[in-house]
Amino acid sequence: MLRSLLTTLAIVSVLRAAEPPTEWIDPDTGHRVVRLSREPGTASLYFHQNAYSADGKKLFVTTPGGGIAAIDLATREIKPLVPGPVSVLVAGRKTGDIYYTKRAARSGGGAEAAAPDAMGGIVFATNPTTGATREVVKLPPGVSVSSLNADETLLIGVMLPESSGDRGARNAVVARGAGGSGDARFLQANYEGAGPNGEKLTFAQAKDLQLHRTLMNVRASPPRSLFTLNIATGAITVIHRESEWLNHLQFSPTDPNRLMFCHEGPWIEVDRVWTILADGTGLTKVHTRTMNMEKAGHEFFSADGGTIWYDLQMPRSEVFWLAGWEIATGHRTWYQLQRDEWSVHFNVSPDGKLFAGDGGDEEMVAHAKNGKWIYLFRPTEVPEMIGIKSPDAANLIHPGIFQAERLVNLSQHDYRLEPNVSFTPDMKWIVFRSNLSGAVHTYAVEIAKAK
Amino acid sequence: MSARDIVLRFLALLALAAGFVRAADEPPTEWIDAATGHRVVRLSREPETASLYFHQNPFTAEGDKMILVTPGGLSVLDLKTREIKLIVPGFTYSVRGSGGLEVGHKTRTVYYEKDGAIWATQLDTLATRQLAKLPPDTSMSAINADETLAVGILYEGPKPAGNVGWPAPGQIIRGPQGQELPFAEQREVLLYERVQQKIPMALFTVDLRDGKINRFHHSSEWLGHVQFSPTDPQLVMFCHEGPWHMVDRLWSVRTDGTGLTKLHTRAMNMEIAGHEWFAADGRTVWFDLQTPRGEDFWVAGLELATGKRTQYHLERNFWSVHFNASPDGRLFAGDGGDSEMVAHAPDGKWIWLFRPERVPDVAGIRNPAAGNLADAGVFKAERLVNMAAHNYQLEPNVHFTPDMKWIVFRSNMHGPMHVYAVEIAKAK
Repeated sequence: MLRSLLTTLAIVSVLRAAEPPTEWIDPDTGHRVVRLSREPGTASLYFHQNAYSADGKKLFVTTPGGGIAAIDLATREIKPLVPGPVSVLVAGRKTGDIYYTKRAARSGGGAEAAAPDAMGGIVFATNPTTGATREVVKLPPGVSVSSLNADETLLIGVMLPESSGDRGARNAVVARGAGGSGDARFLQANYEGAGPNGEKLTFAQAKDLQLHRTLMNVRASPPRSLFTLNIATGAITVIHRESEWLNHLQFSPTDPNRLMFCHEGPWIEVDRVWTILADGTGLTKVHTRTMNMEKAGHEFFSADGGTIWYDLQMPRSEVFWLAGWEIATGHRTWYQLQRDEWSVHFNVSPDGKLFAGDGGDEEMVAHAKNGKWIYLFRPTEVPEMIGIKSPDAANLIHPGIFQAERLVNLSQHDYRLEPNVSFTPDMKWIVFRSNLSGAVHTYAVEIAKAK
Repeated sequence: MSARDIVLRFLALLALAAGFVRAADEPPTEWIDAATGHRVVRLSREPETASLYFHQNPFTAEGDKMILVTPGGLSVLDLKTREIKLIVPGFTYSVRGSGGLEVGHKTRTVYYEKDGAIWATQLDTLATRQLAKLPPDTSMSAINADETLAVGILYEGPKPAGNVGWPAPGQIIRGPQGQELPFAEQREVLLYERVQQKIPMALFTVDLRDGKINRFHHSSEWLGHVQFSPTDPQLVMFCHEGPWHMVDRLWSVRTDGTGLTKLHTRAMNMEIAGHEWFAADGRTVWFDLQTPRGEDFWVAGLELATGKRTQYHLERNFWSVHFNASPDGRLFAGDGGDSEMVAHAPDGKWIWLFRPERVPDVAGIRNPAAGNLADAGVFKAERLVNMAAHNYQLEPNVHFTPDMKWIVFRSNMHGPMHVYAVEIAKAK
């Protein structure tokens, strides 16, 4: 009896290897996990890309052919929306349509032909309910865009200099955008390399070294331009220009005139996090380093647009914070994390009260022995002492602590794919992508414990 | 359990009890710590013998002698023969204090305060002289590098009454909601009230050659912990006492009143800095830094000439109520702490040795501004002495011996206070 039961279980396991379970309760955390995708290779978006329809009912995901599907979060119905290949931008905050770029028809093969938008592209928007698609704006040749503002009037992008000496950066963009030379399971290049003494570098070290070389190329090249593209008129306005590797463009979810960008490169080497207004004024460095090997990155806006949050390590790999800068006041709040709780990306709930993280493996920057988890974080205050405080307390960094709860055991996940957590609009689930059962799928874990 | 087992167990208990009785009477003179493998020797013979506060110099420049305070008075220990000789009968020392005596950095002389005056005793000949009278109601804190000045604190008006910072017998301090506060918070309230009194104070020097008093740095802050640089005869470090998260604690000033410098500026609410000391070469001031209090622990250093900062990160269990640095500046030590102290360390009752390590560059990549940023590192810790039996109401206060082979501390681990040394090298 027992033997036959075990045999049955073994068969079920074999079946599961082929077809991952659609729903289970994580035995280590007690939280319900649901596989939202059916087709292997279906991935949720990067953590700061808005992936939810305006009514909060639908989740946009990318499909294996580079298309877009919408998943109904209540019924889990999957509706293919856009055939691939397209480059997904974000879901519009106003219309809830999913915005994406479709490149003009390619002529022949080869890496050069695959350079982004060399032939010009078109930005489209598709409504997840009706499936209706509208052309938003045609992009001139060589122009690509990355984000859309809160009232869906402006797109933002980076223009490379005409006589581009920074071919490396172009190729890096290609590798990232197309999955390129990388492994399709991980959605990024397969970094390898040797250190100064010829030692074999880890994936993470090799990635930093590649970033460093690209950065040196960019700095030695003519400036790059940050531009807005007015959707109504098609006008392109350069708002900022510098010989830095401008990347991670994000518009505020609420203020149509505010955006954030980064100086890409090894985080210890650059001042990464910047914000600027869409008219080019108000350029502000969000974080200033005080310690060697201090690093800040993976920045994102709070849902109300009031705060910029970012991963802060001072120094790298040793002390871990999620740091917040309130845009209107300059007030700073830092939440401390334990090493195992460090996550390659963090995110915040729509009401700003909860945070989540996607964990990390032992090779990653925190070198966490037990960090392969999807985490929920509840911020707590460092208690003040019976009304005794520094006279300057209001102007100082406000410290707090994250109390962590494990949601999903990711011990089977390969972190060369970054899970990228986001809260569903109803704040009941956290969505992530994972290869924990082999192929990439999109999952959701329930924030409440399963009964 | 058989009757034989019961009898055996009873005998074992008796043996254990006898062991404790003997231990209480006469603690071991030498043992190898079972948990760490390091040799510990008891330097003191008489119960209630004290070693000095961590930043007071107890050693001769030659490193052969160390002062300690025995029940009979000020005594000197020969570090080779471990012979202890009483040199100033009747001298008393509070283990809560941080002043009142210090060995000179140049000559083989101990300077101390007694009967309202500063005295000097040569540690070989025991020749003793009174050097200078102290102003009334003052005390001596430290001796400068060339042994020409003593420094101290005075009140420029009436002294505050009572035992400042400690509840009076029967006194209970309550919080805003009327609740009785934990003892540590009661103390914080009293410290806060003392700060708020804004009582005028000043630093002063006494010239040990002619007794001339020089008042400098007048302030209504609560001044404390006055220390002289071990190398610069005119450089003084002092603190603003009070709750550490409220005050800017670390300051330096020259004896002519110039050069007042705040040595650490808080960036975070509830950030604390304290228990500061000079490196042996006088170039760096080191201190306990917590960002914020009770959560994130560092030993931080400020290089005085350049303003260059260094921060060594510590795990919670490594936090120590006092740290110290070796004479060559390469090693650090800490006296640990119990689970009620600020770090709330679950396993912090140890004498620690720390080896600083820089945070390595990644694949040879550096920040272009690295030279102007704080240097970051971590302490790799080694446990030297298991302090499980120590009651931390007595703070152990580690000192490296001048030969850098031992760390000296005081402990009540065997009941009464004794002075011990642990060997830095592991026992064979």
